[in-house]
Amino acid sequence: MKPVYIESVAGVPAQWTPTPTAALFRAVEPAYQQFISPGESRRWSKACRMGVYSAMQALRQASVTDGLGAVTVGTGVGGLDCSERFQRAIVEQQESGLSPTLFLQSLHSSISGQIALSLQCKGYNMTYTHRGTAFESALLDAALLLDEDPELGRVLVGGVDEVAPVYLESLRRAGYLQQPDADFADGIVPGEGATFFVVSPTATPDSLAVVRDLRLVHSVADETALAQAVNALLADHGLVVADLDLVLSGLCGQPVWDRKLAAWIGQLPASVPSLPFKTWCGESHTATAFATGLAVRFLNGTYPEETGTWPHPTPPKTILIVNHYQDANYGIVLLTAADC
Amino acid sequence: MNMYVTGMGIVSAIGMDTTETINSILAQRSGLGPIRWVDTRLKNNVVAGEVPHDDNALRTLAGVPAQPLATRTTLLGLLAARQAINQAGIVPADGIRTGFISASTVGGIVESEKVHAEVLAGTYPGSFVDTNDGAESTDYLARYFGFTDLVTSINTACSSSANAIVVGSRWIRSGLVDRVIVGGTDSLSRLTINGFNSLMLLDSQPCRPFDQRRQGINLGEGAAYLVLESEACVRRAGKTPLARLSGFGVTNDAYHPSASSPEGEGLQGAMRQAMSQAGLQPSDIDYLNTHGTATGNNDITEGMAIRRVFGDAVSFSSTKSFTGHTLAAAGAIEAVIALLSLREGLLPPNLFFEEPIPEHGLSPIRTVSADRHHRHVMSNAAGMGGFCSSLIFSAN
Repeated sequence: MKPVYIESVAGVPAQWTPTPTAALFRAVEPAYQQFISPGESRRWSKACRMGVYSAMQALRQASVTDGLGAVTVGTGVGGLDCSERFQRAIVEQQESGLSPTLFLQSLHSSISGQIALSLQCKGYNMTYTHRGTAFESALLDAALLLDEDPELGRVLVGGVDEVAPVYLESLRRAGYLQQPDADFADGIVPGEGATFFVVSPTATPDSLAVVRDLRLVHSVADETALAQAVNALLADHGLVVADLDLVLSGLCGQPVWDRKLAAWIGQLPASVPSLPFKTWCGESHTATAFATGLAVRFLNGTYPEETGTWPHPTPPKTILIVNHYQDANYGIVLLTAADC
Repeated sequence: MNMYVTGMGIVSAIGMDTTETINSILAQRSGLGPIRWVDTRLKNNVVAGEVPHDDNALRTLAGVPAQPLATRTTLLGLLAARQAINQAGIVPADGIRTGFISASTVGGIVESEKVHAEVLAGTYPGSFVDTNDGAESTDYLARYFGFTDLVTSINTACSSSANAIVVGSRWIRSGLVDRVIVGGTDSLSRLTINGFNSLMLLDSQPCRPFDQRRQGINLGEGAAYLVLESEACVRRAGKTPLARLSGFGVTNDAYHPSASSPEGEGLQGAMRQAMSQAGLQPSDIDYLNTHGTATGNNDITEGMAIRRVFGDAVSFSSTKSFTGHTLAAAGAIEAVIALLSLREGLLPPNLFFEEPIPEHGLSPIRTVSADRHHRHVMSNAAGMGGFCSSLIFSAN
């Protein structure tokens, strides 16, 4: 994969929020008026609002006023709450008098479609929905697009997910959730949020970071296979694990699923620190989008308060994100500082 | 780089494989009819294109156990993907880097909706959290067939599986993988019947694409997959490919969340991109399989787009009058029908058409013929949210 340069990052963060049955990272929704009319805000799904807002912020920060080449979005569950409300209405209203808006807003593709509409971007537009690698797929697509046609200029790529009541209850019934009174290692804390990026095929004075490479791996046999996948990616760039300044790991808190990743982290050299990024965003299909945004902050020395103090005088230059979703979908992303 | 089709599989209301599909087209036999498998109060208000087997029969055909749950969406996908894989002669774990992209909009909701009242009341003992999304069939099929190299799911509504074909070919072109299995699967569901009914887009009679008096969509179900391989991969194995994927175009209409622009600009752009990539002129296209949903908006705007791109010189039809609108599977199902038309010299008819739409005056193919010598065929797909895609397949 040819590298892509991250020109801007914007998103909607989430905040740890207790509920009677479970904790979750609830999106802290901004005031949308600047970009989205009150009527649209009411009609759109939370995922759509967060996505369009993040997209517009990212474009503004990258000073893209025209000429956005393409849009690629990853979302695991799309407009989940609208989907649940529509399905509830099917039962409760016995299949009559249903709201078409809820149906349209429940479509996974409504987010990148609305971004195209709001930005009047008539180019390539794609929505990936593959669970834990939905965002990685979108990022890979953006990189391929820019490799195929550097004239495309800038591509918008993002990840967005929301949580809704029936889904939360289904997670609880399946036994996946962290018990309210337990520690981190007993189950997942579901999360929502959005992170969008403007990426470019060449470095600019405003480049914030470089996505050097990424891999999607389906069904990792064991920690050795995971190590092989990581080492192969690093070797393609003349690197070994000891060259990494930081690993952002997608440990989710469910020990059965975390076993292989935890074992791989356990074998890291002492000089390579690792941080479990889901401590700050929770578990979602597109958590890697959050981790990528976090990596950009670390690479630029703007450390988030909650992650503690960076122990070295200079910011990290090389960061590897290793994420997994339910031990089925693994995503590995290599980022370096923009001046590397 | 040449991109070859070496396998294809299809399951829909008009057949459980390519042979049955061809026979239904030759006999001009639509698969549309009353709903049998979906429990919905709208049963008597709509016509649909169901695959003619219940879940148990599909499970038997697929030869998979009852647990872990293979949803109807997964079973349809398995049956179609297996045909494509067998035809291409793919042996699992043969060391060739293989990508898998599958599209679905309904996914496993087709199972949870059967007990949704109990789920809402909190009385249902289980949890559908691992099977309720559109990617459940992708993950199941990836495990079943042993695809681990590069796997993803796409959902761009009704153009999803056309886009799976596009992205798969780009994965090969970039050198990420040497071959891909790409397509989509969707089941008829109470959710989508009610969704399209809430939009007032369903016809209570067999749909009439491109007819002046068309009343809307009939939903369908099914699955289709292609195997695409790089030229090097085909050469190495000494295979004779079925056809070439010679071009594609992807745009967004960016006009309205659920309607196309008056002149179908997005589709015009997709068709032009595809021809430009294939190095073809409009007059080179021997058959166009349209999106042709039979809604008021689609068939007028797609028709206007066809007029702008082709003038009046293209043979086209909507085979949704055979299969119904199979949503995420439609792009791949219609790609396979276009490929069958290329291979067999077929012009598939557009059933139930009587009067052209006055605004563009286009008349689709009305009677089947099977004596053509096609060189290039095109297939269009469009999805709510402005998604437009066009594919061109060419004889080797």
